[in-house]
Amino acid sequence: MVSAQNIGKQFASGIEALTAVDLQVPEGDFVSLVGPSGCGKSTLLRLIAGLSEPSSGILTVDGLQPTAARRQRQDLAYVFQDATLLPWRTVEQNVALPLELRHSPRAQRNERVQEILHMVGLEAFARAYPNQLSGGMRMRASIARALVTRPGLLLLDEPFGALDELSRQRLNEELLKLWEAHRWTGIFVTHNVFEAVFLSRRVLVMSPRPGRLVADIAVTFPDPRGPALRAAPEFTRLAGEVAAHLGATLA
Amino acid sequence: MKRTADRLLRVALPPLLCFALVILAWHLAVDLLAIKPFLLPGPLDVAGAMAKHANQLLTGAWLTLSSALTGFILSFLCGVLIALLFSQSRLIERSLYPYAIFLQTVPIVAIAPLIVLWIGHGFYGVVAVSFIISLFPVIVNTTTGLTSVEPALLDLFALNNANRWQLLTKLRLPHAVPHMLTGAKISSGLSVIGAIVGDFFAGFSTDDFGLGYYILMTNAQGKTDFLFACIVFCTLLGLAIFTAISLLSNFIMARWGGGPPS
Repeated sequence: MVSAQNIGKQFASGIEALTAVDLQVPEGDFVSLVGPSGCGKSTLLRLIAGLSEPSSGILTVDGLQPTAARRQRQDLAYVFQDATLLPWRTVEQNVALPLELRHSPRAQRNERVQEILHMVGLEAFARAYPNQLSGGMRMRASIARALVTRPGLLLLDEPFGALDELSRQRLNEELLKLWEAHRWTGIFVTHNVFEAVFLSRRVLVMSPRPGRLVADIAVTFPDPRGPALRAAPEFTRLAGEVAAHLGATLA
Repeated sequence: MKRTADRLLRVALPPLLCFALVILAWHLAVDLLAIKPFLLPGPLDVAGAMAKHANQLLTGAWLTLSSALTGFILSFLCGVLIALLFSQSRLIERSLYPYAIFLQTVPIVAIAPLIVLWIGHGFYGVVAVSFIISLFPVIVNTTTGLTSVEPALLDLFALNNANRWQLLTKLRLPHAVPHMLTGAKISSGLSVIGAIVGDFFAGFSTDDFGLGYYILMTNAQGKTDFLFACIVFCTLLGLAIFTAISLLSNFIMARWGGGPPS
């Protein structure tokens, strides 16, 4: 459970990135944060990850201060905008990294890595190096690395922003399947309205800098969702509603 | 098979032809213009000097090569250690970096007499000069490699609560490998120059004489053909070390990131 009360963030440069953000993400929820670029979405994600600290307000993850939660619970994972794979490691070595850093036993580690590579469809590329993979495959490896520790809280910072539309849709579908199977708490940053509606249970719309939450839209489709959902009138209506809120913030 | 031979021929033929032409022109010029051999010996004279002084040249080249290699290996090891120290503490880096620059900027010929005074003539004196000249590129390149890790990768390690040791061994060090190899390449060439300069000042003892020593001696005695032979050997030496380090570096890089992108 992530809880933010009246969070503000001001950078050393004086730029105010976030102001008065209130946010509750219960366990097992999948929430998207949508907003224009530079609105502080990524900043909010970094605060939740404990990579930086809010200037004001109270932010807790499972009742703990974010850095403490990260250190004590060790069940946070983060997917970056870029795949951020280590170029000197093969795919399986990259995916094994979080387990290695947690000193998990080698046999157990190998088994888990093979399992997760199978889950994201990369088992044939286990021994490949990142520079031998396409952008979509690199991102898949990056997601596998995040999921390998069975995180309770998964933060995704525009992971599919650099991909073409087809790859993005396919990875959306795969991510959705993984979430339906594992139900981690997910916070997904994007500026793609369709992606947000397709993936999440709730879409939060943010205003331009300094970022505030301006709308909280529930997305209730029956499970399991599939690619056909994109053609449903209700999907289009919701996407339109999110886009309207987004447009209003820019007006 | 035939194709490889063809390609080799296409690549090797032009420079070889060029080499032969230059040698021919050199020979003709010396012959036709009747240039005095102590000013510019002909290619045949140089070849003759090489044959005649083969023993001295080979033992000289051996001393210079072994001191250059020792100097290079020492500077690589020390350079990496110093860079590791720099990467662990900003305070240490700020305190010591000016002295590392001092190593690079002080004219080696100015401190060479001191080295001879402290270390003495022969192998170790030459190694010391070679070491000092080739240390800086390793320090600078390795430090860059250790400290220029992308912020997102540092975040990744922080998110997984990596400790300092893991950060160093699993992120900073492997990230620095290509930089270290660049430093090693630059410093391998410098180590040969250092060994020859070292020979000038320290490359002679009761039984050891380096190539640099022979250069000074033959120059003083007007044995220009022998001098040319020394220059040829020095060039080959530098080329050999640089090629060896480049091959080693290519070999390592092919394993580091799966080779060139496909």
